[in-house]
Amino acid sequence: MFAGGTDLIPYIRRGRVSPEEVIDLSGVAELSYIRSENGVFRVGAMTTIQELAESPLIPERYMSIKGLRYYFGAETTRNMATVGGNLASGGERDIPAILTALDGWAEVVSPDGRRTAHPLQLELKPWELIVEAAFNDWGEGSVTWFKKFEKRASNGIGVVTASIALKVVDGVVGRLRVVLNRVEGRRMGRLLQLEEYLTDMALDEEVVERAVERFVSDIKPSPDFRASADFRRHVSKVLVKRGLLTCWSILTGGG
Amino acid sequence: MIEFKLNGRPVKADVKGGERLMDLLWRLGIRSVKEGCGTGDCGSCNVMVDGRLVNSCMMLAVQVRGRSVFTAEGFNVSEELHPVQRAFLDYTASQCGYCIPGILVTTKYIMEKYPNASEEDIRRILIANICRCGGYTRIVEAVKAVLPARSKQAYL
Repeated sequence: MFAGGTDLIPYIRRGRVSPEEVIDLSGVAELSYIRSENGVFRVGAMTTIQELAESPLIPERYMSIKGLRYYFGAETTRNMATVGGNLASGGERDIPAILTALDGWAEVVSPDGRRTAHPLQLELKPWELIVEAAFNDWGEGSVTWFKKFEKRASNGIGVVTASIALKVVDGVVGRLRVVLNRVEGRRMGRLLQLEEYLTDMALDEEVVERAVERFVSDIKPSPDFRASADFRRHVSKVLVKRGLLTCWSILTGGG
Repeated sequence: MIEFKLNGRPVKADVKGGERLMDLLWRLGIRSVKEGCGTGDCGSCNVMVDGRLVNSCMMLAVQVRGRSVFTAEGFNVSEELHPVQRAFLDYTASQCGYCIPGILVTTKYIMEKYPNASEEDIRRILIANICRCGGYTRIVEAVKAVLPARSKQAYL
């Protein structure tokens, strides 16, 4: 499937895939939309990253989405890459991380009908197509955050990316999602124990420091040419701590 | 067979399904787009399609049907130099020149979409272009010179 082409063309050039037939989705205007209905944000799969980041429909508190303009590739990449394409390519990419932290899902169609799928467990068959990414509005009193640590200024796939969504209710953590690009091996995932531990707590630097030290130390990211496992683990702790404190500060007025 | 506008002129062209926009443009006599990497990392192939800055090395030729394409050749519509070309000359922004056509297109994109861009904004958008000869100082100065107003704060 040719959506934006920003992953497919490089894959073809580098010999990773050699498709005999390619379907160009660019003419399917029906898949390019951003809607808000009944408290659910729905983003068509062919919506470009730039369109999503600039959409006036998405409130400013979704900083992880607004911030795509700063850390997702270059302007050219953002004008071509699509939400559906980034999800389908998966791996350590930004949209899977952001959507997972939002408790979002993908809508997938096939000749057999329509199903929903978790952004990290799409298990797409060759005859299936992502048509939409969706998430429930976290509402007032919430904020989302995303940070990519990378060795160059080119905004590629990050060494460490952290995606956080926080809702404060009655002065404590009401709902929390923390996603790292590598929690085990090369697998992206949520830090479930950290989320559970901090729920119903009030945050400050000490609480966050201890929680991060206790739960993020357990991750086992694979090393590779970009960075060692130790370095990845260290940067993961730094980003998670920074993200939690930033989100808390925004929602509690500098607490 | 597709129809589209190239630098303001209507064009008809036969295209193959797997042909990239860059390949089609070369067939049509456009020489400003270069295949520096072929993977969307270097920006020497930058063009604008309906006002969007894109990599012509990754777009399919068929995807511009009914659309309007701008390349660096689009600056030369009269005998006089376009202000962007003038600025790049005045500031000696080019060394080997390989990256320059792509950067000129990016510059036009900045003028149209981010006319109040600060230097920080300009440099951020220029992440789309690689210059190996020792940019970006003079390039950034040239871009600043063609923007109507420049704020000190980051506008993006």
